[in-house]
Amino acid sequence: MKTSFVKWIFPFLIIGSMACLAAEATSPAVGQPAPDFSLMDHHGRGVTLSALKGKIVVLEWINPDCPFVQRHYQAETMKKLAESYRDKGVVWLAVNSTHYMNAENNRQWSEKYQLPYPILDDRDGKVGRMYGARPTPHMFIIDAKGLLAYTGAIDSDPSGSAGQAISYVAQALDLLLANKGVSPAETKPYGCSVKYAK
Amino acid sequence: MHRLASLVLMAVAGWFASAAMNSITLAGQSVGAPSGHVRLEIFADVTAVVPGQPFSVGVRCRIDPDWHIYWKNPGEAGLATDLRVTAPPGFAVAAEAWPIPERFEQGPGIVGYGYTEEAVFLWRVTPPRTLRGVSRIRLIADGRWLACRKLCVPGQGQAALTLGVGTTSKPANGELFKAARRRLPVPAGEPGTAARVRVEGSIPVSGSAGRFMVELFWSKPMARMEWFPGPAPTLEITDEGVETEFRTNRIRFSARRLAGQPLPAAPLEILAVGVDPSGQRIGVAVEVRLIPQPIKPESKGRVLD
Repeated sequence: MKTSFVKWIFPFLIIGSMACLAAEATSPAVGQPAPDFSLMDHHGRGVTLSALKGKIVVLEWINPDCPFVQRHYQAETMKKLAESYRDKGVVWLAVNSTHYMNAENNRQWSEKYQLPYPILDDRDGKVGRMYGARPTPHMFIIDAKGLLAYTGAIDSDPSGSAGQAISYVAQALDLLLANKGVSPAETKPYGCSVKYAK
Repeated sequence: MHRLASLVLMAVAGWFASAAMNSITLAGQSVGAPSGHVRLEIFADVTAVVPGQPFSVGVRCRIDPDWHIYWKNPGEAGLATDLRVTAPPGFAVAAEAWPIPERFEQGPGIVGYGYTEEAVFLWRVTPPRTLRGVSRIRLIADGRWLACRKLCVPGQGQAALTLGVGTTSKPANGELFKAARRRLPVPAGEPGTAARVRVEGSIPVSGSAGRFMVELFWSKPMARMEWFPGPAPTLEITDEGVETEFRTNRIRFSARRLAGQPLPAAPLEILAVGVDPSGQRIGVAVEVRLIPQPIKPESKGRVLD
């Protein structure tokens, strides 16, 4: 303690600069409660996370302008997953934190791909920042107790060229539904940066 | 249809290239329509291929103003640029280090690493010892990338270069290769390297996170420094900071193994970049071993001189 204090009072010895570049957007840790939120969906209906307690919830950060999102929608990656897990009580919510998009953009995207889930309007980026959503798509899975069970990529193939991708989200949902620990519970998400409001 | 069109264009470009060969063929241009805000050009540092004599090939990415493409670790968003050079069978093609990238913010706290304006990637090409009956060879650069400004657009392109085969060759494109090499990092500890490096820290075998310090003693004072963690898909790098004390820089960061992910067996590669008072960027590639290493009793940390 004392030495570090001494180090601090001699800043004039330090020529140059010290930059602290801590990332602003840090996701809540896996195993911790998922931050609650209320957002409007593309029909103008309110959706509150805490009201879904008891169900497994998947959050998908989306931006219709992002080529990674477009690739997965053309391949129906999210739609097929959401449909196949819906019967098992899994709720899928897409969240759009793109600052220049609104409920109408979300409605159009939902219609274009006939989505079985709502797209929530987070154009002010509050919920995105709360979750530390960085790219689109960035995926979060919340267990029935409301704890964060998975955060990261949709699958193992950022460039979409691997042919055989591991679906991390399907893997995590299968483990959760079997009451097993999710592993890996964290992967590196990939995609375009979330276009947050400044 | 589009594929056919690009094949025709390739053939035409090849014809032009070979027609120009009687003088000197120095550069191959993009083949096909440019897409995705980047154009590729391919160069060799020789005027002809001599059997058994290695030469260098450079691929220049010309990036549209305000757009960027990505380094091998794109940062928190983006996609690593994928460039390849292919030569005829029997030739060995080895990529050199990626040029030193820039750091940019892609939104609040969303860091990216990559290139703006232009980036030149280099390859070492070794021809076979004999090239009987071959009068010319064709080198092809293939690229796939994600270009971003406010939005991101995936792109791909090709460039091709035809070189004659001879018994002698002259150097070519010297300035271009010289400038490109100045933008490549050097491995720490190489003779004449700009910096001595010392690394401290590890992730305990039983734990998931560790604090690291990479200290660089530059051979000349630097105005400032930057650093870039290499690709590490199973790690989260946080709490980074850089200190400058005359000729010494210290990079501090925490590395945490993502939940349920293995510790990478390979060292984490980091790129330390000193910017000298003239603005010249000098990159030193440092390997950081993540798991504890046996250390000599008389030294703290490891000195890679």
